[in-house]
Amino acid sequence: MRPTFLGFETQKRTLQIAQKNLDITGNNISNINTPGYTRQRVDLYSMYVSGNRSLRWSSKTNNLSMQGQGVNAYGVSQIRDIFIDKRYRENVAVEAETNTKVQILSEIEDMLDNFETDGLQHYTTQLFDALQDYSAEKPDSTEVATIVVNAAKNLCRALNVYDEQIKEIEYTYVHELSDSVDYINNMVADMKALNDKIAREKIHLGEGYDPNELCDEMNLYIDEMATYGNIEFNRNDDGTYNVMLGGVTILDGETGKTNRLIMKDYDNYGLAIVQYESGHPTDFTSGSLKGYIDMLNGNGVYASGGQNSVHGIAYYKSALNEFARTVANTFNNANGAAEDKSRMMFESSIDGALITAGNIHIADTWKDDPTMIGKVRTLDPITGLYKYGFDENKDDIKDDETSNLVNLQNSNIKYLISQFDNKNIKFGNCHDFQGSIYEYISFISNRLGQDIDYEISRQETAEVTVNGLLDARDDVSGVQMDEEGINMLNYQKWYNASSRMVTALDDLLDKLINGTGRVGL
Amino acid sequence: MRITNPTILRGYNRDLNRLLNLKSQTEKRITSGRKFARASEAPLSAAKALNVRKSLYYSAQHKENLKVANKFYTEAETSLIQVSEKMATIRETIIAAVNTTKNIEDYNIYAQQLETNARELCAIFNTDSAGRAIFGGESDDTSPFEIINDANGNASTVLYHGIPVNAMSDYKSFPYTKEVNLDIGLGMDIDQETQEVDPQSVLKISFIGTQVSGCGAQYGVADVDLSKIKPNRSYCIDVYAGNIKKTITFMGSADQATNVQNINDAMAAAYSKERAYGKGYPKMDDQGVIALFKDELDEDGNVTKAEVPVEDGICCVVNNKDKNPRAEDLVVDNDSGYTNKFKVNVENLEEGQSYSLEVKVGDGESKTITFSAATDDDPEKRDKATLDNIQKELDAAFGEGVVNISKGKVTQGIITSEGNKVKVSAVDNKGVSPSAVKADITTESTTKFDTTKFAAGTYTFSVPGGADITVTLADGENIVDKFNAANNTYSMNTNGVITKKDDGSYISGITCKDAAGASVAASRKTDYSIDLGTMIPGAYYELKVVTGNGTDVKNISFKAGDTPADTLKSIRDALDGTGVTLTNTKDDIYKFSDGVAVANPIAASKENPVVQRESIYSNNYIQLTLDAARALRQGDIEYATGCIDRIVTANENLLVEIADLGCNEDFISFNIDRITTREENLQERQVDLEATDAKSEITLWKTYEAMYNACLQMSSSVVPNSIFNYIK
Repeated sequence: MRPTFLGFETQKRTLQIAQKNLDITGNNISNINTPGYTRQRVDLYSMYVSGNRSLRWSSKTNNLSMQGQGVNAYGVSQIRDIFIDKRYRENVAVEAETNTKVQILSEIEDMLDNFETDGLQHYTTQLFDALQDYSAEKPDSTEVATIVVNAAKNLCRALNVYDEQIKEIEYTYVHELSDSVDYINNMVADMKALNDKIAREKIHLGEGYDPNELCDEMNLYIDEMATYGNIEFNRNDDGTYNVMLGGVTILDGETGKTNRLIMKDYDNYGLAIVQYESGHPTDFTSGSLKGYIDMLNGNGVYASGGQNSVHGIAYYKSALNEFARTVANTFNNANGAAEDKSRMMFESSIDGALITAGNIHIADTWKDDPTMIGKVRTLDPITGLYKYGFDENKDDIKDDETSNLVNLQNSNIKYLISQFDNKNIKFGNCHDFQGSIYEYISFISNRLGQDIDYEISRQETAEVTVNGLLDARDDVSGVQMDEEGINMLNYQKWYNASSRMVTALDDLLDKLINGTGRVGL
Repeated sequence: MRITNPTILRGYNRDLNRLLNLKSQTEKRITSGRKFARASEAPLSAAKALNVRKSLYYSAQHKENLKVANKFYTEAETSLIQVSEKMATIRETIIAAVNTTKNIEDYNIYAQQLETNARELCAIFNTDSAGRAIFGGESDDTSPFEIINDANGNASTVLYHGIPVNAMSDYKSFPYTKEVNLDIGLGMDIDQETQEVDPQSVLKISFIGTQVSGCGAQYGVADVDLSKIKPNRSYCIDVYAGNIKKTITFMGSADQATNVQNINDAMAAAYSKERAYGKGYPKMDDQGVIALFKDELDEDGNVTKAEVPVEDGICCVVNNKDKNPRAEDLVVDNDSGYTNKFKVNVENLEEGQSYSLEVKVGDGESKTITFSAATDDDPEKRDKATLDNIQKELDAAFGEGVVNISKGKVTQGIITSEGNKVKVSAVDNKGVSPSAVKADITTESTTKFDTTKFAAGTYTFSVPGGADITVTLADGENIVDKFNAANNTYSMNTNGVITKKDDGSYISGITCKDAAGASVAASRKTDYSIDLGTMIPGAYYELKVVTGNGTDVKNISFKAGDTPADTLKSIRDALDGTGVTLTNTKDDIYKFSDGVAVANPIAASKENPVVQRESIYSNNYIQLTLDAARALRQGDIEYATGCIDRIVTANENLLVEIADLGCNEDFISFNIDRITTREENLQERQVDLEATDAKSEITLWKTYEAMYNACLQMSSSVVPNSIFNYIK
């Protein structure tokens, strides 16, 4: 037999569920602009009626009297697509990596610019022009010779400045990498706390239900972490998250342990090394950390030790050093410095050190005597060595005082000029490039341009994909206002209908209580 | 797909941002005028643009260099035209001098004019363009050419970079003879080892003075005054021999022979390599004259003939103060160029003949010496003996050692007196001075009487070494018949010619007197024969052929053939038309027809005069002008005349040089045009690669702006009306 107030119980629950649905709709609308918010819904089910006889107050044959007990809800769930999340995180990592690379390479390009400002080509040409002018003049005319020295000095200074600037860029990104590592570590600490919270809350929730808002927060963290490196995650039974960054577990939800990232002292190693507290090395396949590390350690063909073959800051630094060293050596050798140290045009500011972009400067012998390069080279038949002087026809060529005549042939200067078109200069001990000085400048400019162009196109591709995936994610998890409006109307009507049902039941009871058995009253 | 509100907002923001970016990029391109600011914006264009920039830089510089070269060539051409004009003046001056002048004062005036002209030439050749002498090679010496004076204060020697222009015949052996070149964008090619520039790849902007004005001379020796060498002093000299300069040092000695030995040792050491390779080397003879010799070598480098004088060899000695400032100066007369020396060609003298020379030393009286040419089968010994003979006579006439005749290999026969001018001339020795090659001509004479002169009477013919023949002639009787009848030894033919009766041989010296003792006129009939057997095959012979009683004199010349028959033929050919015939008498001796007189020419042949003034012509025309001036002062008209032709030739060479310069100027202007065109093309290319296409960029910008504005206008309705707008 049907309990008398069964309908009231059923409608009370219906009103509560409708009210909850309205609440969740309201929650969805409220959070329409909340970052990371995932659309929620109340998981409804029709009340199940058991056929157990002992529970029956009914007839022997069926449980009809207990049927129609209405609606109930398991809980409130989120609508997410894990596959979209995974793809989004993969692509956002690529986008972040390419962003970092484009940013760094563009800074190098801004520095080495040949188009809007005076770059290496300009300074090289200045030297070429000065030598050409000198070649048409008397080799002992100090004024013209000084112009050559100054042009060479400017080239050296430009290289010195480039070296400073590229170091500045280098250290900017060393610090950014270090900051990123700290940030990730902080984030992991937060995520650990969040994991604890989730575990605590999860106990109170039914099977399959999560503390939605905490999960949203965790997902936000994971999304953010995905921009730093390739990320993977899985969940434990207690609802906690295990997160792997760069192939290594950084957050273990089960044990509640975090694995902090450690960046080794850059100056000490000359390398950007990021590894885990646990001692695991990192192997980022994407993300901004990969961008930083690639750029800082990327030394192209000059790579050694822990460096990689990407054309990064290290490579362009090496390229500048190679340029400085090769130009210096080319001109030094052309000027006879191989046999006679006093013929050096360029040298390192540190005695005995290899010439680099940072230390290249005009040799003192040349600075003191700008016309040194104007002297004619002749072979001394006795010593078999080359000797230099202004007048090759004087017997005592090394002592200029014996002659005030000069040789106008300027053969040495012309020989120096010809070095600009020497197409057999090898830049870099690994034979990075063989060609002329000008060609090398173009080569570097082109390589940089092409590298940036490549990274930009990767970035654009990733960006488009990321945008598509964001839309796809919204497609699943985003709040749609009209949809919520319709739901609101729907739930409101549902509530109204349920209320009407209570009235009807009330009428029924009224009839039963007040109107039944009153025949004749 | 569910379009959610965040999707719409994100899309809107993204598009708005994209448009703003595009707009800002276009703005940047418009304001900067550049298609790209960074290579990464257009990697391919940027790569090309860098190349174009480099080419533009290069073009600009090459154009600058071409301008420098152009200025240089213009000035060079102007200078050479001036030189050419000056040369014409010099030529006219010499012509005027040799044709119109007769006395030494006038010659001196002309000489002075020539000297001034030479100095002007020198000044033109020292023209500089922007501080560098155009004709100074690669040296910056502003005056590569210099004229120095002799002891009399007359301009005597032209120096190029301190070296007499006559010292070497190869202009490249002078210092500073490399080319100064400019890179004008022909792909300058420099040897990595030697730093030598491929001249095809550059433009030269220098000229070598000795190439343009000439250098060297026909030949030349350096005459060192041995008597001025001081003992125990060091000497440092530059020897120029066979176009090679060597610096040698030696210590002076009191003994002249030792000095010669020292100098020769030093020179032999310096030039040992040259000598070993068969090149010229200098050697001093015992009179201090340095001349050029060489060894003749076979294919294996073995000496086949040592110390052969080089015919056109030049030696020159210059004191080198640079190397050793304390060294004494040698007193040298570099006799390349005009010299005032006389030479006796001893090798041309006829053995055993005596010759006379008139020798005048300084302002002294002329003295005549007579000497005889020595006889010896060895020509070298013979010449030496002849020279000794001359020296002996000179010593006798002037005192011992005052006037010397050189016995050096090259200078043999030159008569000098240290510190004085010596003038030598041959005293006319006609008849004894033979020509170089003389035909063996024999004469045979017999007596001839004019038969018509014999009238009736008695005549006595006296025969040398024989009995008188007396013939008595009656009226109407013939002297011929009577004479022949009167004796058996001689016979007279109808022409009055008397010969021996038995063999027809000639007899001369027969005289005839009539009864009164008066001589009857007799003449000699002479027949000339030539011995063809003694002639040297291939040699040229001259004969003086006289016919018609001495009225018709002809000089014929012919070449001796390999056989007498050939020679006969060539003589007959030479005599063709003269009516002279040759008949064989015996063996190879041929008799000329009657009435013909034949003789070898008497005077010494022109090619080998007995006494010859040394006339060496310089190849440098400034020096030539000075030499002409000197010759005029000496009154040596012959030499001065010789200069005229050479100046004409030099002028022709100059015109070639000027034309050559013109070609180069054309080449420069061609290159300037070429580079200008290239620059224009490159600039166009640069614009294509780098410059913004303003029209399309502005259109683009307008489009982006419109789109952006439209986007902004849309902003109010980006968040669409939702169902809430419609729920009441």
